[in-house]
Amino acid sequence: MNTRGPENREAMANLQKAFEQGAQGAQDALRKMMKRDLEFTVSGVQEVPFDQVCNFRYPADVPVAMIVLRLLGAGEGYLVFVMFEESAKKVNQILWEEGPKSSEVLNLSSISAIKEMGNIVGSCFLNRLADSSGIELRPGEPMFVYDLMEAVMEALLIEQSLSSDRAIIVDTIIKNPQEGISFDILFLPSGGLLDRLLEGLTQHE
Amino acid sequence: MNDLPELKKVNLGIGGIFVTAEPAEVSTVLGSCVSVCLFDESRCIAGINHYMLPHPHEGRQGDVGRFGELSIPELLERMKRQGAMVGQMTAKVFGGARMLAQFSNFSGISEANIEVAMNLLKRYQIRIVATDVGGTRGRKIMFRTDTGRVFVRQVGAKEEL
Amino acid sequence: MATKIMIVDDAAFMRITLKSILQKAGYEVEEAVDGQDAVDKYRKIKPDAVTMDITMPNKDGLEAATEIRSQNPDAVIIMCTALGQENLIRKAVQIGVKDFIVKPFDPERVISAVQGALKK
Repeated sequence: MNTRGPENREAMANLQKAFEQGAQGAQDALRKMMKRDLEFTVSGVQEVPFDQVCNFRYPADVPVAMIVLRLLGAGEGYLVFVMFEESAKKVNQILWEEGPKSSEVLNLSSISAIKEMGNIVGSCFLNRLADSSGIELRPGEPMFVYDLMEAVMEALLIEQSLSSDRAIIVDTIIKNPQEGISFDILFLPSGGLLDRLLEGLTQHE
Repeated sequence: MNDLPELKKVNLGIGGIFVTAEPAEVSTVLGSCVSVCLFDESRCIAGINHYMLPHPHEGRQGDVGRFGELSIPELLERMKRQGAMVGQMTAKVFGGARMLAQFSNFSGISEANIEVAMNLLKRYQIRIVATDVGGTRGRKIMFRTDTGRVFVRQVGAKEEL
Repeated sequence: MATKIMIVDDAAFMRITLKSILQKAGYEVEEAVDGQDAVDKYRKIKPDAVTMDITMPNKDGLEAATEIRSQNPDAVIIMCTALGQENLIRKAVQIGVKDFIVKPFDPERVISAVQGALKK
């Protein structure tokens, strides 16, 4: 639900474009990492109020696997990858095809693979955002979490709650239906980063 | 454990406060947030909240439910309005996990959330009969408003308190 | 004696991936898990070349590369980066890093970078 004014709607459209471009780079990277011809696109970007973010697409009380990237540089916030355990296991199996096989989500080596994937794909998006807006953004050390959706989201939203009431959700579609891989990306800018990004995106058009 | 057919299921979100004299199962998921469950056994009146931060800060006074310092007194007020007596109440406190412990800037908020609950309940002289707080994992709690019992579920574990 | 490459990355997954690529091409591989480990092991192992991840805890790749190069001006170092860390790459070039490879790794690109760096 977009409640911003017309000039901000245009800015949100620019944000979506930046994420779409980032997805192209991410698609290349994922195809290389997974050695598959999968499709990865961004279908939309929306602002969502807090109480909906906590159970956005994933029920609040279901355990999910997440890769959390802290934003570093000229802004604060997080970029979060969310997926069900099944998807995480599949991603892991595919990434490890040439090496030790592990389907246990909480296994240390499997976490390493998924974290790297998050790091690389996250970089694609943040680089694109940074280039398009002129605001330096890069991912920090990725963190892997496996816990109830709302429990983790609450912690991530604490910083944001100090400055706003909404989060940005990037609707991503990763098409690999026969193998059952699917994940979502949540972009949680805080401390005025969103406004600065929108401004930067408009200026740099 | 029998589930009465008319047992209402309620989901409580961040900032919520729920008080009732009817049988219900109230569920909520807690990370660094804290829930205080109050129960007046003699009148079967129960109440629960779910707050995110300990104290309100400048410019964000509006959301009573979000801040423990405001939410707990409000919870108590609503219990009293339903007819509950402070002297008959017991409390259970849950949550305040240090989620995302790797990101050190989170340190303090979970603990402060727990502290607010302990301090206020002590001030109101409401006896705390159970707690499951801290740690680094989320909790789903299910509060039975007819019995005052709370079930706690964490990823990998299941317990009743 | 096989050419020895030291792989430096805090992510086990990336080390194993790179190790597989290099061993298949006939190189002998050693590993270090962060910048400090890299500096310590360089002295002991004296590899023919090093692949160095940039973002690591306990001393990052740029710092480690600088230290290794100051102790061994002939050290052959290839930086590994996730896409588009361009300003970091610029800094790395100033330190005297021979080349850089981008994650996710393209096996052919990795081998040609290592071969090229060893020749110089």
